[in-house]
Amino acid sequence: MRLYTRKYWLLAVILFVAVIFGFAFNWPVSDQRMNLGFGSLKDSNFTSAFFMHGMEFAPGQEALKAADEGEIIFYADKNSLYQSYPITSLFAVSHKSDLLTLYTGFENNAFSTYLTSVKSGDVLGYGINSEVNSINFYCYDIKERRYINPTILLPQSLDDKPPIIRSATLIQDSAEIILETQKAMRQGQYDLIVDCYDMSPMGLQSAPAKIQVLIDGVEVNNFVYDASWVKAGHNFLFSEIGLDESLYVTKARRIRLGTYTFLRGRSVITIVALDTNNNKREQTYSIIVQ
Amino acid sequence: MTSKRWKRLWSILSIIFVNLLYFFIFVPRLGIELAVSPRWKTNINAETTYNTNLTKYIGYATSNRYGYFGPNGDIAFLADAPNKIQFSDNSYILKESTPDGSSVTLKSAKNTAIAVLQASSPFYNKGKIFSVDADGTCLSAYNDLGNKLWSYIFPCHLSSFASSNNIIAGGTVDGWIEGVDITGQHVFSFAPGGSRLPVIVGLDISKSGDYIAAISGIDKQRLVVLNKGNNNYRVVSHCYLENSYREPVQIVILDDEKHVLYRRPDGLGLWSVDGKINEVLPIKAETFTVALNAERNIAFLVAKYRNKQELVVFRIPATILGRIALPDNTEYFNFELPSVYIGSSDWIAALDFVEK
Repeated sequence: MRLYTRKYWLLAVILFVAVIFGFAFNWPVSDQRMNLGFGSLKDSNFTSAFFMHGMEFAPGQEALKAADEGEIIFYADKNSLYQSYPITSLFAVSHKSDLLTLYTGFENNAFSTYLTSVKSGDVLGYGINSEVNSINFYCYDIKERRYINPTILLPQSLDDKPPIIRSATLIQDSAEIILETQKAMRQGQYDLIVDCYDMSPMGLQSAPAKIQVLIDGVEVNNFVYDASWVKAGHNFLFSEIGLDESLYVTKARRIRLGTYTFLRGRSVITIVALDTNNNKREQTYSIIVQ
Repeated sequence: MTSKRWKRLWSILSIIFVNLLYFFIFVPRLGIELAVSPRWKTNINAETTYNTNLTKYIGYATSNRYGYFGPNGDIAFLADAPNKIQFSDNSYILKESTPDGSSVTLKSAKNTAIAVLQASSPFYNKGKIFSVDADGTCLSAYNDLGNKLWSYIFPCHLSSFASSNNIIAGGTVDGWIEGVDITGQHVFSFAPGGSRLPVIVGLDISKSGDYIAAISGIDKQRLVVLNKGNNNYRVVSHCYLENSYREPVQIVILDDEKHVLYRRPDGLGLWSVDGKINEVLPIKAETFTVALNAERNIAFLVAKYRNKQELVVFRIPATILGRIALPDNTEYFNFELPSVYIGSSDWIAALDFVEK
C-alpha cells in the first residue's frame, strides 16, 4: 500500500468552526433524495468504478438551492464549454473559509445570469426532467485543492440503519479466501477486499463514513471518508492516509482495505463500518493460518 | 520684398512641398480588395443523391442532421439525429439507445463502423477524440481507431478547455491552468492569480503549444498570455479587463500565434501576444469561428450573437473590410480558406473569397 502522510490541520479547523459556530451548509436538494454520497463507487457501461468526489441526487425536477451564502464565480448551463468539452451544466459558488460549492446536472436557462451572489436557500435552478440526468453537489477547499465530503458540512439526515458489510475476502495472487466460509489458509501476504456500503435514502449503495480494520484487536487501518484530491492526474483519498484511488477501488466495485501478512496461528480480523450518524456495523472473522 | 515676407513665403512653400512629398512618395499602398463569390449551394431534401466516392470528405452537422460532403458540393451521406453529433472531417461519434443503456460507436466519414467507443461523453477537439468520464474531472484520450490511450484526472471541475498538437490544458473553477502532454503526463500547473476570486473562464492554446491565452479571475478579470519557456509556462503579457464574466468566455489564439481574439461586452478584443496591440473590433459575438490568412494578414470570422450570424472580414489588427449577414437558420460554418462552407438542416453552400 502506497502511503502519503500529511497533517491536515486545515480540515480540522473547518470542522472545529463548523461545530462551535454552527457554520454549516444546507442541503441543496432534500436529503431524502440522495442517491449516492461522497466515496460511493459509481460505474457506467463505459468506465470502471470510480470514487465519487461529491453527492448525487435522484433525477427529477427538484429545486436546486444554494447551500450557503456566497458569490457566484462560474455558471454554465449549456451542454458543453467552448471547444466542445461536455458538461451537464455547472454552477460554482465561492463561500467563506476558501470553500467552493459546485452544482451540476440542472436544467438549462433556469438562472438569472445577471446575479453575482446568492443567499443560503436561493433557488439556483431545477433538476432535469429525465430518468438519466441527476443533480450532483460538491464541496471543494480552494486552499488545499481538495474535495471535502459534503456530509461533514451538512446537517445530519435521519438514518438509524448501520452500513452493510456484504463480503470480505483475502486475495493472494489468484487465490481467493472468502472469510465468511473459509477458515484455513496458508501464511503469507494477502489483500483484504471488502464489499461494504451504506444504503442511501433512495435505496442505493452509497459509501460509509469510516471503515476500521483491526487484526487481533489492534487497529491496523482507519479509512475516514473525509476528502479526496488529485496529484499529477491521479486521485488520492482520505486525509490521514493519502491513498491512491487505484489501490483502493477494485474493478469489481469492491474496496481494498490494505495488504496484511498472516503468520502461522490463529488470527481475528474485525471490520468496523460507520455512517455519518455513527450507526455501526462490526463484523469479525476468525482464520487459522497453517 | 521684405525679409519677413520672404520668410512667410518660404514657410508656405515648404509646407506645400512636404505635403506633396507625403501624398506622392510616402502614400500607403491600397489594400487588396476581397469579394465573396458563391460557388455552389445544395438543397437537402428527399431527392438528394449521394456520391460515396469522394476524394475529400468534409464533416457537417446541425442540431438535427449530420453527414459528409465534398468540396464541390457532392453529398457522401446524410442522416437525421435527435441532437448535434460530435464529428471531425475523418470520423464521427454516434450515440444510440439500446435495451442495455446506450452504445457509442466511432464511424468513418464513409459511414462505416470503426469501433465501439468505451466513452461516457466523447467529443472532438482539433480533430482528436476525447471523453469526459467519472465526475466530469477525468479526461480520456483516444486514437483514430477508437482505442483509449490514457486518462487524466484534473484536480477540480473544469470551466474551460483547450488542446493543441502537443499540449492539452484544462482551466479549473479554482483558478488554475493544468497542462497535460499527448501521452497523458502532467506537464505544468499555473495559477494566474491577480484577482479577488480565481477562476479560468476562457482558454486557448496555440497550434504549436508555445502560447496559452486565458481569461482569468473575477474582480478584476484578466487576459493573460503565457509563453512556453525551458521548463514551464510564464506570463508574457496581460491586461485587466473592465468586465468580469462569470460564464464561459471564448478566446482564440490565431494561427499566426501573434494575436488573440476574445469576447468582450463591447465587441471582440484583439490582443497581441507581446501586449503591444490592444484593439476592439465592433463585432458583437457570443460565439465566433475564425480563420486567418497569415500571408495577407486578413482574418475571416463568423460571429453569432443571439439568433443572428454574420460573416466579417478584417485586416489585423482591427480594420473591417466587409461584413455580410448570414441567413438566420445558418447553423454550420467551416472555414477552409479561401472558402467557407455554411449550412442549415436544409442546405449547404460554399462561398469563396476572391481577390479583385
